[in-house]
Amino acid sequence: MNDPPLGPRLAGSLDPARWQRVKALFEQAIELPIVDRSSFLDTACSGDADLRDEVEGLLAASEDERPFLDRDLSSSVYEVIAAGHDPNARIGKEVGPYRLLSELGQGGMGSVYLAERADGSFEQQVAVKLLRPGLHPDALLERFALERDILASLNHPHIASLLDGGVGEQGPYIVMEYVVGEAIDSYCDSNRLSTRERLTLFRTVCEAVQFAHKKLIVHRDLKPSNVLVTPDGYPKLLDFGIARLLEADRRTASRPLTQTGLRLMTPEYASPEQIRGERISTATDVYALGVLLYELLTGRRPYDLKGLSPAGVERAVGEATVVRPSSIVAQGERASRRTGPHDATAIGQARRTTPDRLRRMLDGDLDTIVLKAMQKDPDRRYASAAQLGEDIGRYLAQLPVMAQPDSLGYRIRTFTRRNAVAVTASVVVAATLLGGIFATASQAARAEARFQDVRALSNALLFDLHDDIRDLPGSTAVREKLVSRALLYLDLLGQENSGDADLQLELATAFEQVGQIQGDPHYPNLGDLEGAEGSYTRALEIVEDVWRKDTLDGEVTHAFGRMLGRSSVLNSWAGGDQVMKLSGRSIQLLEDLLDRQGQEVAVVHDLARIRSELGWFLIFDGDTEAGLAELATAIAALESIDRGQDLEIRLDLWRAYTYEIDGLNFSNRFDRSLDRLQSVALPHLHRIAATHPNQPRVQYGLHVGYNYLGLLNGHLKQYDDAVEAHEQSLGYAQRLLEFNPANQKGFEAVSRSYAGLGEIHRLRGDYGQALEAFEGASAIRREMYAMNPGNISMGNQLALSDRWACRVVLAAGDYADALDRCVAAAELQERVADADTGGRIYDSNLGSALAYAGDAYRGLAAQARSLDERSSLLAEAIEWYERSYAVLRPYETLDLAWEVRPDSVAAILERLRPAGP
Amino acid sequence: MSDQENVTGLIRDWRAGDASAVEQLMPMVYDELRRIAQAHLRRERQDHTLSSTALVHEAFLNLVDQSPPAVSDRVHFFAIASRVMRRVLVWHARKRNAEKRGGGQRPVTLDEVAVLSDDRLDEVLALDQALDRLDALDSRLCRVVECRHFGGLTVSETAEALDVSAATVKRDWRSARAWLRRELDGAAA
Repeated sequence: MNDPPLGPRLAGSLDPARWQRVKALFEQAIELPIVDRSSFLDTACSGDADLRDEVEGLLAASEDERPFLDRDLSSSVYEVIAAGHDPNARIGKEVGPYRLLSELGQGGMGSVYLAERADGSFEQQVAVKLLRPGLHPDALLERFALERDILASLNHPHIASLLDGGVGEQGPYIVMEYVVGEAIDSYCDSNRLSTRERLTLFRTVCEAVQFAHKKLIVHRDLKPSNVLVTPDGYPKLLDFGIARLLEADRRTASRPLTQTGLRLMTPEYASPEQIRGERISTATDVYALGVLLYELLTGRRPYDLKGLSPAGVERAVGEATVVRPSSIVAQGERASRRTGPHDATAIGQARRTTPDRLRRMLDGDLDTIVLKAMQKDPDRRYASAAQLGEDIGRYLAQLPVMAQPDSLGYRIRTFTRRNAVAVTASVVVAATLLGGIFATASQAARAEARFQDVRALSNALLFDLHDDIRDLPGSTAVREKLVSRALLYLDLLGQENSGDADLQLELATAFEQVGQIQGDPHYPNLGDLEGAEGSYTRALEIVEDVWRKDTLDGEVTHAFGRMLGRSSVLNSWAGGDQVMKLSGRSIQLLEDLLDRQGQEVAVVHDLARIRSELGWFLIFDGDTEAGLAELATAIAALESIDRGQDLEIRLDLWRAYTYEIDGLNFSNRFDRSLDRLQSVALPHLHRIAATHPNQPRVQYGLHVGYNYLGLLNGHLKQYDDAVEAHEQSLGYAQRLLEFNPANQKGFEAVSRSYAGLGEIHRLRGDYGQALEAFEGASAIRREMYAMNPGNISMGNQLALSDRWACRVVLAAGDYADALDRCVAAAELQERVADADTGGRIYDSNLGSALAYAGDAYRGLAAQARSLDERSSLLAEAIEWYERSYAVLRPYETLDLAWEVRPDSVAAILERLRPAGP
Repeated sequence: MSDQENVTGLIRDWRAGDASAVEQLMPMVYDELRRIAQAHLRRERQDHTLSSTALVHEAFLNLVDQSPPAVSDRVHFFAIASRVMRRVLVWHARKRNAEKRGGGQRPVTLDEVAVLSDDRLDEVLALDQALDRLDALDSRLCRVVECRHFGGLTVSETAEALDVSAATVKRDWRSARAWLRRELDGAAA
């Protein structure tokens, strides 16, 4: 009893195996109500008192309410890591002729110390900057010698002078005039400078920068901590010319941010060209001055860069739109952006005003001045720091400023010109902008100018932007938002201006775009077939009205024909019965148009696309020869206009090749099919991929192409080639999902590759792997079909992988399992076939599914123990075979690649019937 | 071989079962974490609220040579970084304890005072020793505590990092907490 504690009691007494038992019991017990635990442990530990002690000890510990391991240590880790250096060790050391007295601070380039002459020859205190190791000392010295005269000429009352430099025991160092002062932002706040006082002070800074610029010295790292204000209100710029000196190490100079890893600049103040590692000029400093002014006026930073990766910083600074100073002061607290006081009221107080008055003061000229200085394009900024200072002077003198806000047209052009990612990011802003304009337009009784603005912007959103971002990975949802927003405004305008044919045509085209995004199977889409049909119908109604007023108008006729064609494609995918009607009308309109106006490429292209889709439909509808004939016409037309430039033409040509291959397969011409695939279609596709490696639609094409190759090799019993092709196909499919994890076609593609692999495994007799693959395919398809029950094609694909899973289980001889699966697959296929009013392919699939159910009963019958059981199972089998035959019989004479041939079902029935009841 | 290829390769080695890969990785990860943390601290002197997850993420992007980086490599990197963080804290706590016992002549800097109170320092050391024992008994539990407590990872991040389900992480965390609590209370008694 009096033994001293032996340290951690459990460490020695538990071995890992016993611990696993303790843990398992603990995990079970803790899930039980407290009152039930004791009896549970009575049973579970059955006499092992130690075991019970262990478990109870854990239970008691977990019931302990006192905090334990509640606050994770990760934030402390951060600080410990950051503090893992020791600047104070240098205090008292000598650097060249100077002795370090205390640390003043740290900058991106190294630590700064207060120092004095070690030999006591001068009283003067100086600032010594010890540069970080890594900069090459020799190169630095050489550079220093070159620059010394220039820097020495930088004699200006508002610029701290450079006194000396060299390489000492502590590494390279620079000696500068020591300035006692406060960083300009905190100086302004602590002295509660008004906006006008801040502007006046800032003008002086501009003059100093201009002085250096005249000597062709660019600062490159202007920021509050480099602009000190002495206690008597005198600004002093530090570190002029230093950044350039340090770039003596050419290995790190002028490389993009993503490579230098945020080292040599302060990202919040770095200009887009600096971040991208492009040419630096005096405009770079003008930009940094703009950021500094932004901060002094608003108390916020223009960008929120915290936690961004270098690539993220590059994007934010290079592309994101800057929030206007007047808007940001009206916004709520954003801790990460604040540079001084926390909230709008405090920011106002630091400027001896209220948030509202501050906002009104900034709105207008000051917004314009700041944003002009901060333009992304250096050429659009103020030409010099002097000009910026002058414009501030004009503002203070209440004269008109030189800077003008960007025109609407300019804004639209820059939207579309900037790179694609920026466009995506700008969409929300653009939509907001549009809303703003429209609201104003209503108030102004649809003033004509505003009307044109809305229309121009809506069209820019719809056409320029939409096309620019269409192929961007992950852009589908953004496109929907973009287009539906633009559509809303165009629709409103359209209703009020029903007589304006151009506007009506724009509106119809807008609906067409929306339909594409919602569910056009040939583009990245949202899988909403019903929505797409609605939009296309709307587009057709509008365009037909316009067309009726002038049936000879080329543009309108073209649009009408194209939209009819799109509707027809969608209709065939949705299993509708309008395909022939729609495509027939479309083809006629476009052919007439070509006759009338000559072979315009865009019209030839649209016509060929519609023919190609019609061909595919005919093949699936059972008329293979007619389908192949349409495809041959389409392919010839597309080949005639393919100059290797237009991606759309090239992709449509690829698609036509695949349809042709479908048709050849359907009519059992596998050798011809493999030849076309290998010698024409795949080389064509790889040529596209060479010029468009990141194009999702090309990736999708590669997926389909290799899927075909796998299928064909499977048919031709070249199983190794087949597996290799399917695996390549799966790789392309997965890449699609990497581009955009929500891409419906990506999921569809992955499931297709699984199914392809499953089939090869089945053919090889590897039933375990085959079943796994089919079930993988079905899992994806089931989810997609549940999300959109109107997608008949998906229902059919699901039924197919379910059915093929049945086939594997049947082949493996597990008839009981097979029976359940086959009946379910047949029922599913029946529902799909019912919903479909089009192609015969679904009927042939249904016939196969029904026949498999018959197979399952027949297999069970063969294993039956009693004669009675056997005959009743056979009766079931016959019933399913009869249903199968009834479905397949109408197509008996067609030469199709049947999964289950009608005549084999007939033959089985023939054999079984005599044995029936 | 560049550092980046090296790191990617080491992560893969570790996943393939080569335990020594972690030992090689940890100093590289530590150096990178420190570099980033200091860079951020310099820029944000008065407002350094960079989360450890963001820190580790940035280190990962700098150290790994893929674009886009493989998700599985990322989460394994997080698990390694969590172990680095445990080691860093323990090292820090030991150093501070040595100074307190009179060995250190130099004053403690402001930076360090702010980091951990003395209570927390002792807690870290005791926890570290208990975790070593737990590692011997049930190493997955130990990994879970490292990720959650030292690495600041969420349940689902931890699950990804350790290739187990979120439910397992929750269960393990509960068991580990109970075990550690009893272990530490017992040691204190």
